[in-house]
Amino acid sequence: MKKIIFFLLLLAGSFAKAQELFVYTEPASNMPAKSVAIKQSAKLFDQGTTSSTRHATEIMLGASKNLMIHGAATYGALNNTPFGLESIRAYGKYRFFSADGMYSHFRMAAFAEIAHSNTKPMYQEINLQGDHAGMQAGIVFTQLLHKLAVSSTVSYAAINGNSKAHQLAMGNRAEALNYSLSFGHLILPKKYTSYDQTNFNIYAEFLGQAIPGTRKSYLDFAPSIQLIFKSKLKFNLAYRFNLQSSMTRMAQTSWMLGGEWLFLNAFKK
Amino acid sequence: MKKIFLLLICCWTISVNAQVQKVNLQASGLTCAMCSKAIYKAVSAISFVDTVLVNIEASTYDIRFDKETTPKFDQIAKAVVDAGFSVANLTVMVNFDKQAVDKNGSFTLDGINYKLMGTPPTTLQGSKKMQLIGKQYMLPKDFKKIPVAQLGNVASNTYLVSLK
Repeated sequence: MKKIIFFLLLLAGSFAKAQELFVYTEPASNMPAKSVAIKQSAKLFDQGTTSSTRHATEIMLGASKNLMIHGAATYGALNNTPFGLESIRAYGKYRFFSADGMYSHFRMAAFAEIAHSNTKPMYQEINLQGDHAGMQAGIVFTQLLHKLAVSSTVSYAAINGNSKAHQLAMGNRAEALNYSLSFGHLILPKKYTSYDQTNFNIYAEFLGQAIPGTRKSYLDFAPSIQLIFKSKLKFNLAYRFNLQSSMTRMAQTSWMLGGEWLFLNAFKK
Repeated sequence: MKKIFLLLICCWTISVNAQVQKVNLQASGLTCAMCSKAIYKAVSAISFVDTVLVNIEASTYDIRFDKETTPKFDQIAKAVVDAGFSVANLTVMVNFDKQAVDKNGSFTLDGINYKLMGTPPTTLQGSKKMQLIGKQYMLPKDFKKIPVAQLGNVASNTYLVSLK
């Protein structure tokens, strides 16, 4: 709890501008039209006596000013299985509301994703980023206000196919309600003078899941730091830990290290 | 010969002076350098744009155009919107040389049609700033202040402007 308060104070106390380039969640804003980004990330799950790693490669595309599309694959060696491809995922997000002010905006977007996974689910937690095959749809709200970016996501996930069969065979439910609340802040530079300045951002994200019809839920807190080089290359380092949980999960704590390269005007219309 | 030379210089001076010098764009809805760069790149990629000088902190962009081209201000606004943001202000800097203005406030300069808001002068002279008026060129709160009567009767190929 102390850690959270420290992080939130850090967010509230810095006199800089906001950032909404969250590490765990997507903001309602999209990438610019005609741009492409490639994201590579590694997650390290602390499972007590052992640990697992999961890698993800994600390609993101700004299809138009309102629509962005992602394609992702996860691979790794989890739960003592040999290293291999685990899942593929397609994601689309449509920004349907935007009210821009000077140094501020409020935006809303709807998203949907579909995932296919080779892995055999072992936990009550439902996760379309590697563990399960299924679909998820939801809404994102993002407010950018000079010094603070706040974003919230609410979504519904339902798993299908073998994932669902395994989950039901274990006596678990095959659907979940996911929600998040994220804060972001720019720490450096204090004053922008060039695109070559390195940006330093901090984020604090609350990530939760509840299984409808049961008392099963979890709530995680994920503080993270981000460096952006030359306004195009991002590095993220995040630590995610459990605040409350009443379900079985792959890990109560995990680390994530990631990089993302943005190519503006990557393709013609 | 001297006279001809003088006349040529005069003509050259007039043709250089009476034109759009540059455009100052202020974008809204962003606070990050990555966002600002997205706008910078989108505007720089427009075919008639020569140079873009940016102030990231103020979110302003000084845009100069290639010679012998006719800038299309709506394309600049579209580039900003496609990058994911909005235009807060788009102001055209013009050096006028006895530009005649008709009684409705309309005039044509370098192939671009403008219509002045308010009571128009009969001629425009010297360096002036003209702010583009329209939903796509202003913050919503500024646009709401424009009297509806001023917005009507503007042809689609004409930019409604306000002298600053």
